[in-house]
Amino acid sequence: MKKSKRLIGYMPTFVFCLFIFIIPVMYLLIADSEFSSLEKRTLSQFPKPTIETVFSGEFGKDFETYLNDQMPMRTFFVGTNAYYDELSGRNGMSGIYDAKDGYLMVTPVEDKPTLDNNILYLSEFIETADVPTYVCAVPTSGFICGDKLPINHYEYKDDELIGKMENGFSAVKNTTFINITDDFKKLAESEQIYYKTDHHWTSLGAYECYRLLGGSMGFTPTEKDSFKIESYPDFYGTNYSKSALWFNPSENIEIWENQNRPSDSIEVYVNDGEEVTLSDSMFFRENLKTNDQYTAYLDGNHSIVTINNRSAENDKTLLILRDSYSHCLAPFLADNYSKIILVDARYYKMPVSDIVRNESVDEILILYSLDSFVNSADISGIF
Amino acid sequence: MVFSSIIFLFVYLPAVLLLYYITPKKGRNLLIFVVNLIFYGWGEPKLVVLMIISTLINYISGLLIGNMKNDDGSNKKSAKTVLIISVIVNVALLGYFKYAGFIGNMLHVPVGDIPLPIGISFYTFQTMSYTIDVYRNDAKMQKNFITFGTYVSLFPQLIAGPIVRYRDVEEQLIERHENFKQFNDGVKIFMIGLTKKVLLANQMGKLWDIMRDDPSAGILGSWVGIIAYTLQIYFDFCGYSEMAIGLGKMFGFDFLINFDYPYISKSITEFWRRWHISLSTWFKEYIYIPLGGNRKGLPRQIFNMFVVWALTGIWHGANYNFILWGLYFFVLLMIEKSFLLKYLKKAPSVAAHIYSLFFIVLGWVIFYFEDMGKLVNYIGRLFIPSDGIISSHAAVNVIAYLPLLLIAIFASTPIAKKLYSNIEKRSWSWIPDAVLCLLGLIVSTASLVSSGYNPFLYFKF
Repeated sequence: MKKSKRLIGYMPTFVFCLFIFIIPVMYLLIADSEFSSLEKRTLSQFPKPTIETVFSGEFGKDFETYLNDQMPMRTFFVGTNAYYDELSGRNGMSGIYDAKDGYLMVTPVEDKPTLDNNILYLSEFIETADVPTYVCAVPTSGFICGDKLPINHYEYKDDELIGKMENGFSAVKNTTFINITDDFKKLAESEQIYYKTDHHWTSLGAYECYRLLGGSMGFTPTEKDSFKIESYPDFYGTNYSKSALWFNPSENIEIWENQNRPSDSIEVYVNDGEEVTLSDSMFFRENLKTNDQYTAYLDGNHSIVTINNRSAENDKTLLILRDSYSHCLAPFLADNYSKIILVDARYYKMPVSDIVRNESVDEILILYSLDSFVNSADISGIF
Repeated sequence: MVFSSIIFLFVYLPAVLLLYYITPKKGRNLLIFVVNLIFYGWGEPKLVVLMIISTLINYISGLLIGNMKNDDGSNKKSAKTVLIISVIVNVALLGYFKYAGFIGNMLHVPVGDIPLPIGISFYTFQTMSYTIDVYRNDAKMQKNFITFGTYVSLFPQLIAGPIVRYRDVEEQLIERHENFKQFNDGVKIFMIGLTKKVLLANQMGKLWDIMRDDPSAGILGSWVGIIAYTLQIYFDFCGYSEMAIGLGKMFGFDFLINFDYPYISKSITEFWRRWHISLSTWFKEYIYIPLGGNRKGLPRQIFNMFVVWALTGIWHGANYNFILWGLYFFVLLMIEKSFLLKYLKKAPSVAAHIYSLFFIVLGWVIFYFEDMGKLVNYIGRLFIPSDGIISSHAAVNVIAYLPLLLIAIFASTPIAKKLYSNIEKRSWSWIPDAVLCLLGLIVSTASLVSSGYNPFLYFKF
């Protein structure tokens, strides 16, 4: 009796040893994974030790990265930490707010010198290109849907920053700045224009922006009821992965297809620098089955994507300098331009002004998320 | 390698524990010696050579001194010579790796980039305690190289202390009586240290980073920032010492405590009795007392204290601000010694606490900023409210970290320990023990897995 009592006092030892021995056993038993779908990156593999790497300490470093990447129950631990952080008061300290109604929102964009640089370089580019140009910045969901935010949060300054951009582009010739923040704020009161688990706008959000662009760019937007809306369940966006709040519910992702357009009128050329692939649809529905569902729009990030629409209302060519927000927007614009060239400066490093000249581009749309305008170092590489 | 890492917790520690307990008692020191070197050389394998050289020098010095002293005493002079040479070599090694860059800079002599070997400040002091103790007959010379090497490189306290004197572990090095009770205590102490480091120190560090880099945080924001750093450095260092003590117990060693709730001190004098005890003890025994301590009159005592505090400062890092930090405490201690201590004893304890904490916290500003301009700037932020009380941005951070700040402040007092000691008497105490141990492991592991954020402050020393 007495002995069992004493033994039970050693419970911490038992728990401790069980824990620190069971994890290495799991390391050995569980096969290493190659890719983390939640983090959207390849995981490091066991580094082969050589005499050189061992003595330089490189093996040690790589081995630790390997251990971290292949940690058994990694998802569980990362999630535990996310909930621990939130429960101990630090909602949003990881960069994502756990907001109301299942919204996960990126923390505010802060002003940086990059923004001034980007405005400057883009202005120069516009002068060189010498065609009518439209600039639009997509505000963040945290700013537009501010009522969903947790009580203690950083202040969103999207209006200030976008105002600064509007100012900066006001003196540039041929340029119209399209400020969508007020309209978006009003819309957000009744509609869901941003995804809850992703930083992107929904198809509805992109459509509403398309309508607003029509007003400035002088085209007649296609009516909402021309679209057949396909809704797919179980969408988890990037904010979900970043937050690691695994209990947050999934949502639907939508594809809006214009029913009135002849089915064979679309050609999409996807150019990733080396290879060009042709597709007859702007929507890559097979990607909905992958872990990166947002690539269903125009197949995600590529250096150049060209959309030809034989049944477009006119014969104009539009060049879009873009980030991923345009993946979802461009299919709407395809109704109004016979040719749309989307250029992603993250991958395309050649002179864009050559494309403007060689493809006799009629108009340019520079559309980025506010975050890209403020943080992207690639924008200043456009010339 | 650091304790608060995945590789230590789930590869090194289980492997070493397993090997240790399946090895017969006779072979255990050799095993520890070998795994110590792996631990030490993990990030920078070349350092193992330095460690072995340092061990050899002190091993041989110890043998020489011991043998000379064993003779009829006629060789006392040569013993002293050997001791002096050995101390000079130790100090020279430390000086070269730690201070050459700083001194070169001061004299405008280019010395190139000398990387600081981790833990060198700690193990150099340990080995010097050995040779000096052998000379003073406070310890016997160690003839067995493995046993001596085990002491010098003992991984639990190798890189961040406590500074264990040879004589305190002399017997344990030769014979240890590992047992369940000691192991269990070790687990508990290790877990307390691990959670202090991972769940408090790292988080306080993040808050400090945010507030420090926000020049418009306001006067209150700046104070919260430096208080966060005050808590970070304590939990970082104390947590590491406790992990060391806990690990020591798992392998049958008993080390003395290194931190005794320093932030509840009612004077700076008391603070230095509670902060980094093993370092203060070392300076007292091997510098202050040999210099004459307080036995040679007041002027000499003041001089002795000046020397000790200048050295304490420079021990923490090769830069002016560390010297300044040491001298700052020298001045405070002199003031307390001459008259203030009397008044502090009579004063209401709240006042004494506020006084002590104010100067301790201010001390950490000096300690943190190696750049004098930045140091002056931050002190300005603390006392000149040019940016208002607190910016709304800073307030968001303070509110977010408030629960952890309060927990950290609470954890820096002995209240929790007192409360828990009531539970420990109960027969069911194993339930909270085990639950807390498991929760601590899960949340700490979660934190380690999630964030690459695991900078270890005391690598600098």
